Amino acid sequence: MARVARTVIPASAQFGAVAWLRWRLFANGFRRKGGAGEVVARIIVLPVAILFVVGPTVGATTAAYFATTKDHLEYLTGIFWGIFLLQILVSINISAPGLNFAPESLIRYPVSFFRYLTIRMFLGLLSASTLIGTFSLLGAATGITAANPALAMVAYSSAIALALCNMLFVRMVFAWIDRWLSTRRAREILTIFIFSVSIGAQYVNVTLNGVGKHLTRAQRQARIDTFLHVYRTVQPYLRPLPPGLAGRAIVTGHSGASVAPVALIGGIVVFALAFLAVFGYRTRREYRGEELSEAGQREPEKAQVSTLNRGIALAAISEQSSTPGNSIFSPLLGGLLEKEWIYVRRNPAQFYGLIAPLAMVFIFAGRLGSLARTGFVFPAAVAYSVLGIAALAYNVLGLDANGIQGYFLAPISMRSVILAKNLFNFGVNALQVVLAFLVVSISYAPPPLWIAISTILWVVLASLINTTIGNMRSIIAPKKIDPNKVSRKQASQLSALMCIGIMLAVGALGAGVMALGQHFRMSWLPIPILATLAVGAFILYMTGLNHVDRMILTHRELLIEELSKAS
Amino acid sequence: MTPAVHTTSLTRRFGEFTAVNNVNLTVDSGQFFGFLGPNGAGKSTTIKMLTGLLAPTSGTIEILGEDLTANTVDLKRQIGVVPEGLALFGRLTAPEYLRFVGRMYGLDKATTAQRTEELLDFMSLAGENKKLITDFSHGMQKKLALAAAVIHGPKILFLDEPFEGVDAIAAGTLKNMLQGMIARGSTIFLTSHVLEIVERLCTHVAIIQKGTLVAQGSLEELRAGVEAQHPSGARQKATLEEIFLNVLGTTGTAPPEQELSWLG
Repeated sequence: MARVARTVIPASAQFGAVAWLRWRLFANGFRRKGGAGEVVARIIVLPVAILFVVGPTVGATTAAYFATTKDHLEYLTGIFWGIFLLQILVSINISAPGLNFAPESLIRYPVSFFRYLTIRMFLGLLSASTLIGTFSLLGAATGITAANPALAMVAYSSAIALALCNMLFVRMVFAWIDRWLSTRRAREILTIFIFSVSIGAQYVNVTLNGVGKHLTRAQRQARIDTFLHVYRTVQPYLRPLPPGLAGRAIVTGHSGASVAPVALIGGIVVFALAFLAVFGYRTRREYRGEELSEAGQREPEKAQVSTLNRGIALAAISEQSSTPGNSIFSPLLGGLLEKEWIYVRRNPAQFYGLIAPLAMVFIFAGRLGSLARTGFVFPAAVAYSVLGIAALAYNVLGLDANGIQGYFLAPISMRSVILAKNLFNFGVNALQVVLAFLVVSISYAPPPLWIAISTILWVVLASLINTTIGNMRSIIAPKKIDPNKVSRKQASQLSALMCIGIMLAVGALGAGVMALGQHFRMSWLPIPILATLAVGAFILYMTGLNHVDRMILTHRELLIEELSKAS
Repeated sequence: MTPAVHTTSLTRRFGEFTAVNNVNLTVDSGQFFGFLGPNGAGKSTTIKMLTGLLAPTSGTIEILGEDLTANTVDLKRQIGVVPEGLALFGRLTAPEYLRFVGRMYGLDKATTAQRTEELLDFMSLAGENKKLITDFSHGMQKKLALAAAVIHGPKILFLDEPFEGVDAIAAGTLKNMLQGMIARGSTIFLTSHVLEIVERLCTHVAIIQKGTLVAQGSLEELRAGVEAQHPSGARQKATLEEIFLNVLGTTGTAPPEQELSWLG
């Protein structure tokens, strides 16, 4: 027993090492090829990101200020609930900044559980959801204080306790979600669940609200009354929960009580500790070496590569075969398309990414009242759906990972590979258009013919331009995609920014052309203009496609290096 | 003498699948121990459990006479690991990585810096200080992983396929380093598919098949067992490959002989 050293490693050394590791991983990320572009993209995105934090903060500050000045302190609970729900919504939609490493990898070092828990707590702390939630709560406290300085102590204490509680709640929930989603089957079930809920929400919406009705002032007031009635009905049940406790702490503080606010804030802390305990329980299982994924039984990435190899083999055999197949595509393209379909089918995250925009169209289709009458719901729905998946075109080789080498080894041209990937994306776009058409037609009425044709031509134009640029970026700035992560970035930051810029520009062009037709009272005018532009875009696309082989040959080393690298 | 590694009924299940089943393993201090088995036999899962990266479903693990679960932190300081997949941080440089590892093991800055320099020099990686690990070749990454595994001077070293992808010159250097560690009293536990290397380095061997330990002992003991089964007069000493195939054949799990007739 005496053989094993018992000296304790200073906590500062290990915490310092992890902090330094994060810093170096972040800084070195910009040293890679395209790093300068990433820096520029981040600088451009920063003001937008700040706005996402500032907007809710200003909103919460203003709302809390007016609730206090108008002596409606009971509304503070509603504000706190709103901030909590926003924090949840943001954490679902915006993943935490990439850690560049799996925190679980730290368990092989001599780190105690308490230190591991602390590291786990602080890693990812600067996520969008935590920042928005915390700043909004502090903003609300500031608004209360500005309206009534005597409430400063209780307002800030409540806000800080609630911020901590909300943050721990989100960490706890996501730790368990990660646990539940550790198997492919669970992820598939979640995908089906989200899709079903989206459809269900639309069904309830249409059932309760009818289709495309314009609300009168009285109806709108009736809805507000209903909402307040529901709020008052559920409020007694929400009172014992943290946002309710925070609201009551301020109300009791305002009425001059001294013990009650402390007890209520203490209640929030008890909730926070309970969330921490559940988070700690999950983290302890992880610390002790709980294997969550299917990795213990097989290697998912190898399974992906095996699928890729099968696709390549099918394509290669097909290319050498002189027998024409029954497919409308050549046997070569058929083999490659089959591989793309298998990839999407086996990756719920990828699959969900494709259907999510359409699900949102379902949800919002019944709420575009005034737009419905103009007939522009269809182009709006199509633009939204297409924009949602546009970034896929900017990293078409990302999911292939080190299987990229298989393409170079197989007797197939890279032009065929890229063409198959493009055709797959075009097919998905076409499907989105058809489904959007059906949704809009069922919810309202089929769009006027000239709008339908113009929209389809616009989609062709947008897809061709986007794909042409996307193909170039896929070759110049490839990025390995982890198929096992639900939230992930599809392309490099600069590519994503370029994609948004191009889609906005093409969107503005389409809107401008349609406005031109309206202005001259020639509704058919957009059709020839967009058709001409689409032909031009097709020529541009084909020119780009014909250069793909040469470009990939030039960037072959970069592609293999980037897509085969360790994370 | 207290064994360096001792497991009792070590079992690990993944759902319905049993990766490691009831393994009783003993590795004495100072041994150069080879852990062999076909692909998917449970070697890496066993190493993960022995190094605290994976919790056993049942059974116990003792490292240097102490229970691994009860004394995880202290025991992790005594072991070094080159895990399957290497688990490097691709966006660090080699000196940055070794500095991080040294600090995690509680080495002071001066010691970490000195050992980093020596290890990089020893592994012939000193000229690659500016390069990110992700840009290293597989062999270079392997050498770096090994450097990281020994920077804190472990008493037991667990190596999962340490020579895979390493060039002959580097492999020779590594072998010398490992034999030097054994001479100084360390214990080494390695898995490898290159049986010639295992035969040359290891004094003791265990063979695992479908999660079950099917053979364990010194090379001489295993060799004697094979020769007792096949007494053929004046034959040469059985090689480890023959022992390996014989053990798998005995357990009925040797791959069937077959041909792919369509291959030219």
